[in-house]
Amino acid sequence: MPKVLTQVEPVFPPAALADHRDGTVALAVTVGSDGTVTAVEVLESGGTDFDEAAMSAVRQWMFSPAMRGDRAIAVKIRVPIRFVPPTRTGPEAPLAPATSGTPRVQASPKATAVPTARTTRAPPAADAAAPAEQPFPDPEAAGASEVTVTGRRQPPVVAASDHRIEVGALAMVPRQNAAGMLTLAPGIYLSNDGGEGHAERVYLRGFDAREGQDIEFSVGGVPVNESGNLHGNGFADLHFIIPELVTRLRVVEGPFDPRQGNYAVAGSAEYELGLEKRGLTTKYGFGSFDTHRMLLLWGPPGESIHTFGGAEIATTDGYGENRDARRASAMAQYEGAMGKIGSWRVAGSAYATEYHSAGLLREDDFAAGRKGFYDTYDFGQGGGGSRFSLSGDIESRSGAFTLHQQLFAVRRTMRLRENFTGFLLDVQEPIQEPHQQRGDLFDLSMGETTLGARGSAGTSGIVLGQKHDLELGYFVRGDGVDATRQRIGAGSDDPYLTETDLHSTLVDVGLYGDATVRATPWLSLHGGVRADLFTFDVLDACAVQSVSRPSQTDPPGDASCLHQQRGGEYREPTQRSSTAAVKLMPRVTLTVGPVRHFSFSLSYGQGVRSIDPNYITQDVGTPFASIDAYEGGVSYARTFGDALSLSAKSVFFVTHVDRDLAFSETEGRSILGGGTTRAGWSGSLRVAGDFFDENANVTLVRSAFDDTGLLVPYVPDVVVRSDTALFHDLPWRLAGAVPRATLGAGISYIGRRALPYGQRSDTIFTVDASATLGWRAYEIGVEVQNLLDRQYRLSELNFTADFESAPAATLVPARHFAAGAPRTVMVTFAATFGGS
Amino acid sequence: MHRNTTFALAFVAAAAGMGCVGDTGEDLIHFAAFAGGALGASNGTYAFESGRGYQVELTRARLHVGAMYLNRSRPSDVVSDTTCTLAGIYVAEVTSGLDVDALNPELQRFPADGFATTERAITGELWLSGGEIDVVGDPTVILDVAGRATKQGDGYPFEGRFTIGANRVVVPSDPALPGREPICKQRVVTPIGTDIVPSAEGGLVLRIDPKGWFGNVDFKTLDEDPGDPALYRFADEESNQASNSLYDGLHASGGVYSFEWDEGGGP
Repeated sequence: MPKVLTQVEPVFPPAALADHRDGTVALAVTVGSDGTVTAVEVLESGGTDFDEAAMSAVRQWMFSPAMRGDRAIAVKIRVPIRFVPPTRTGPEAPLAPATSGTPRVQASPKATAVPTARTTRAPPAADAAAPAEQPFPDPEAAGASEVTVTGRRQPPVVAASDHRIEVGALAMVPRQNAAGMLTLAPGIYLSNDGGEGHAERVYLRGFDAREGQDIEFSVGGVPVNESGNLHGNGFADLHFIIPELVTRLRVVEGPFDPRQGNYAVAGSAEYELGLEKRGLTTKYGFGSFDTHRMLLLWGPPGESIHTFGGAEIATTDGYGENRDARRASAMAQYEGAMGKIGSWRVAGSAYATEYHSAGLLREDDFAAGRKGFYDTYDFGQGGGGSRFSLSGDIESRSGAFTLHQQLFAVRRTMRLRENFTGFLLDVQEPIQEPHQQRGDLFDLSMGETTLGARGSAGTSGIVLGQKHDLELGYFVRGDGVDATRQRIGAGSDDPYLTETDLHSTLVDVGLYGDATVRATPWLSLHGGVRADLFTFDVLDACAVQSVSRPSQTDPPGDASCLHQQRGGEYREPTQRSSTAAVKLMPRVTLTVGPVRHFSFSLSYGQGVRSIDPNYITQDVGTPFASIDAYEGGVSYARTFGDALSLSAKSVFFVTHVDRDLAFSETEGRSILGGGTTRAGWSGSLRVAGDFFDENANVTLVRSAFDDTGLLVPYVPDVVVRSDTALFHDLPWRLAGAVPRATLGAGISYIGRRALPYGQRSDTIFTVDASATLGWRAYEIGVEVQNLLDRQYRLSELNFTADFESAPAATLVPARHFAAGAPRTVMVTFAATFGGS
Repeated sequence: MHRNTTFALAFVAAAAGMGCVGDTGEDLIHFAAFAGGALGASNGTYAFESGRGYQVELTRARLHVGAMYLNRSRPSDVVSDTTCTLAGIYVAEVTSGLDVDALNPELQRFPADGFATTERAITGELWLSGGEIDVVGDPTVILDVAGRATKQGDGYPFEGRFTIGANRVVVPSDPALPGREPICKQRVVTPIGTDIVPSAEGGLVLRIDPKGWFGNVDFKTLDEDPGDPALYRFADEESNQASNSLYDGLHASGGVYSFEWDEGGGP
């Protein structure tokens, strides 16, 4: 009989955990003659989520093969797996503990989850790969030991657009980085005109969320948005995330969850990290444009998937001019159990990058042949940065409550050099010595230290025969930010002007209450309220930059930060401003699900984005950008037979922002604009089976200004995305082991985006693909991005710039673009040792 | 068609209608650009009476136009304005230079088309430069005139060639404001009042009437040409009243230059 050598623990389904559901799944597992699991079928379903979790884990188990005489044979065995949520202690209180603590997944011969019995008798003449007749194995002899999976309380699903995305097999679809995983959620388009190390610009369901300013990002609960970043308040760079360590995404496309805080205007995205493949995995890839990537992953066998380590180093010359980049990242986490009452985690990450950027090109220069498609104007563009984070958290049951507490610290630096306008902005001030246009390249640098904490206490109980939930929580973060922006002379690399020099202390304290009240098992009202206090203390070290009548005896000349007022009257060049404001935000969802497999919901929520420190004025109430979001949706989830699961959503939405942001090429960042409203529909589908996984979504949206009714520029109104994964064992053996092959494909279609001055961009249609061949612990693969080698414009903008490509200055807004990458091929080699 | 299929198609069509509808307003267009001389000129000459009572007959009048611009707004603070460009949003530009024969009323086409938005412009600019507007050194002859002026029986055959470079640098009077007089202020003729809404069908026409250049020129202050005593020559620097007045007239924002939009797109 086969014996378990490596046993990968199933992941407790979050939704089941939230609902405190238990379940048992019985699987028929075919163990090949090489000890690998060659097929898994559901004999007794415990529900879709339990079935998938169990099958996903067992597929990774390794056995010593069953033997007939001296010959290893394939057998089929029965493996029941029981999912046990945290046990309650003491009498059931009126409001009993919420689902939390330490749920266990038992796959133990001593419990009810064991590879205990064979159920299928194979034909005697079956070949070696076919399951063969075997007696019931002795549970003890099967070698499976008890596994305890430490689960965490998961927030309830708050709206139809609350997308919980298991990355799973879709990880094999090629992506530039971890930000690319966002496109698994509907309505998301990513562009980047700032280079490899520059954060992606995110468009989400009619929002131009820029580099995260309108989306609240977090990784393992640690916030990513950078308050006070001069390039954009809330700037979020996700490049520090090693994609292979992302197991799950939660994308909420609107402010519908009281847990969502600052920047959750268009929504929020939470990355959950883990590593299912245990052991030591090494991976090396090389490819087009002298790109190299080395990756190490470490998942200690026997530990939770939330205990892992990973590190990567990558370099590339980049396509076209001035796109070289280097980066390194390391992430590690340890999860430990506190008996059976909870668990704790400590996590840390370190990241550094340095890169160059091609920036934007004028379309007329490309059309006239003055510039190539992948050229640049200014080789000084690029940047660099670093990020270090440390966090620790505890989740435990205490009496009737589940308590969660997390502390985090982040240190971030960033340097950004961009030139959007060429030679346009170097205004000749009367106090300056006469000069020509010296070039608009700006050099923005920032250092930020973030300290913060979040916590919650949750409970649930039975009232009037229905289960109800309640959670109270808080969030606090403080940021110390030093940010400067200078202009650099073309060709000299010398700064000639300091435009901004801010030193800010920013605090955000949020409190929320969240409840779910159920009238019947299929009718619930979920919601709550959140309040955030924002305080700003900003020291402007360059408060005066021009004086109309300076001192004649001591003229300031070309100095940037002045200490004079009119007539030469002295003043300090610095000025401090402080203010504060509170925002109260209700959020509510009504969910109705009287029809099996279907769930209908109506949601409303308010969100907020704090303001850029640039806009702070002493004692003037902090202006907020506030959002009102409405949506109605229907969700459908079902399994067909044992091997096919289907989920689909259809959501109609309307959102309004009172102060939207608009990109300013002269500022090199987004500035406050007027109100906007967007309305649209999104649909998503995920179908998964034994050998495939398909995730597809479509979003249609109209986003317009309130005052004019004109479209908000740059926002795509049609976004279509498909991610496909195929995986199967090959029908032959190689040196006694069955090779396994995978195919992945990602297809994106972005409609013609509205541009300023009545223009429309080109459409974008790209196909990315990958293929791997695995054998024993080894895997070789190839990834191709932009398989069709289409020459496309990743971003297109209409604005004024003068790169001196015409005899006289170009002052009328014109089309600019950032070139998308041509076909890029990467070959990868991977090996895993010491694990499954 | 099956009822469910019909419903599905209708749904998709309605949903698709929510996207790809509307625009951001206005448009970006290319247009032909022209310049023409005085409408009263014929056979390469143009005769008129100047503001100082001279009977002037021009036999040569060529102006180098480096660029033309139309702007959405009118400058509001010219005192502190030391920039080469207006604060407002530019609506149209013609960035290819042209030597305009101001004695030829026929339209002369600029070498390259202009580029514009379709917004209303109320201000026009001429950039009188052969190179970058803020580089002091520029040998380009901006104005080349010749002719004869007579008054009360006295005749003044004249010639003049103006450049705008180091010879036109103005030294600021206030040492605390050394950048108050950038060279671009000598090269930009602004604001030229207009009212134009560029459209895809038309073309921009610059009309030049040289009469305005000579409005305040007192020819009798001209110096004789050392090489040809019968000829009076305008000095290419700050000099006598006549030379200074012609240079000032070159920058006159009213009465000399006018912009119009030719719906026919030019000849």
